[in-house]
Amino acid sequence: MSELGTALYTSGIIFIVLFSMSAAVAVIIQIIHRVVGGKRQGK
Amino acid sequence: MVAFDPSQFFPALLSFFQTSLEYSLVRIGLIAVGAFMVWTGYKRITEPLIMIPMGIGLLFVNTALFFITPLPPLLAGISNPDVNPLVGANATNYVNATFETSAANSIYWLQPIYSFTFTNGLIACLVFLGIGAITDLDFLIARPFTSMILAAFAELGTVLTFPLAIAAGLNPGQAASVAMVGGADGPMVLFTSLALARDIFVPITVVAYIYLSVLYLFQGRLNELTIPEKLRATFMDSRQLPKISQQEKFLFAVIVGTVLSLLFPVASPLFAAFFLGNAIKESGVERFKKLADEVILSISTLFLGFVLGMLLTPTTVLDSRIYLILGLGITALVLSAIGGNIGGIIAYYYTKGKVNPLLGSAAVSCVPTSAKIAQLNASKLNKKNYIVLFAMGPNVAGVITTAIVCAAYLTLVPVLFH
Repeated sequence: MSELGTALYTSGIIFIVLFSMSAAVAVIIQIIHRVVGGKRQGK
Repeated sequence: MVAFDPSQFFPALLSFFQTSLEYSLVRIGLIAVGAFMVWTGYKRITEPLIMIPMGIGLLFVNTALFFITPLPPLLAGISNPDVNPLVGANATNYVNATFETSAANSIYWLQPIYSFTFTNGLIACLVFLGIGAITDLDFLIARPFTSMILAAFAELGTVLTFPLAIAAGLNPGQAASVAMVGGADGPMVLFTSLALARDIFVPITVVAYIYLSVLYLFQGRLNELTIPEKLRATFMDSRQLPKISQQEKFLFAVIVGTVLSLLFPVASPLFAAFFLGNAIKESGVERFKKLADEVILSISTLFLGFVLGMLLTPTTVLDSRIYLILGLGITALVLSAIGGNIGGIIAYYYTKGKVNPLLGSAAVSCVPTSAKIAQLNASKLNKKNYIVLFAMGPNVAGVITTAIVCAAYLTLVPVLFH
C-alpha cells in the first residue's frame, strides 16, 4: 500500500477509535451519574 | 597596551552586516513579529498568557542570544541538535567567536528548563495538570453523550489533515503532529510533536499557539457562515441542567482517567496529568488545588511560551516546511471547526431542535475560548440565551477526544509506517 493509502487507512481507524471511545466514555459517565447521582436523589 | 576593536562592543548589532541579507531580513522580521505578539497580547487582542512570554522570547533571541558558535567544553556533550534543539537552533556559523563566553553565559541559563521539561514532554503534562485543576466537569457529566459525540465531530481536522499532510510531502510523524493543531490544544500538539517530529516541533507548536491565540477572530465568523441563523437562535434553558455532586466528578476523574490510561498507555502521561488535576480539584484539598492552578499552571505556561519564543530563530523560519505547516495548521483548525458545526447541526435535528448547533463549534477543545465564542454568537441573536453552560460540556469533552486522537497517532504511526 502507498504511503497515502496507509495514511487514509490510519485516518479511518482513528475515526472508528475516536467515536467508539467517545461513546464508551459517555457510557462510563452515565453509569457513574446513575449510580452516584441516583443514590443521592434516593436519599 | 591591548588593542581594542570598538566593533566587539556591539556584536549583535554588527552581526546584521556580517550575515547574509536573507538571514538578516528574516531576523528583523522575527523581531517585528515578537514585538507584535507582545503588543497584541498587552492589548488583549491575542491571548496574553502565551503571547507576551513568547513574544519577549522571540525578541530577545533574535536580537542577541542566538549568537553562539562552538560549545564550551562542558556543554559539548549536549550539543546534538536531536537531543537539544535549543543549542542546535542557535548554533550558527555567523558568529564572532570572541563572544563565545558571554553568549554561553546568556543562552545556557534556560538550558535546565529546556532539558528537564521539553525533551521529555513534561512541560505539556504540567500545563495539562493545571488545566485539569481548573476544568469544570459539571456540564460534561450532565450531558455526556451530546458532549462526547460533538467533541468527536470536532476532531475532523485532526483526522483529515493527516493524509493531506502526507500528500503534501511531510513524513508520517510530522504529518500527525501538524494534524494535531486541529485539536486546538497547545500542550497536546507539543506532546505529539516531541514524540513524533522532534526536528520540527518548534515551528509546529508555535504555529499552533499563534492560531489558538487568534481563534476567536475567525471562529465566530465561521459559525455564522456554516450554521443558519434560525438554528443559532435555538434557546437552551440552563435550569434544565441537573446538579452534579462533587463525588460524581471525583469518581469521573479517577475512573475515566484509569480506563483511558489502560486503553492508551502511550498517552498515559497526558491522561494522568489531566485527571490528576481534575481529582485534585474535586477532592477538596485546597493546598493541592492552589498549587496546581495558581503555581504549576502559571509557571509552566510562562516558560512554555518563553522557551518556544527563544527557539524561534531565523534558522527555524528559513526551513521551507514552515509554509507547509502554516497552511496545514489552519486547514486542520478550520476543518475541526466545520466538523464541530456539522455535528451540532446533526444534534439539532436528532434532538428535534433541543440542542443549539453552536455547541458543536464549542467542541473544538480550546478551553474556554470556543465556548465563549459560541456564547457570543448566541447572544447576538438573543441576549437571554445562556448556552455557555451547555457549551462547556463539549468544550471539556474536546480535551478528552483530542487526547484520544493523540494516543491513536502515537500508537499507530510507528506501527503502520515503519
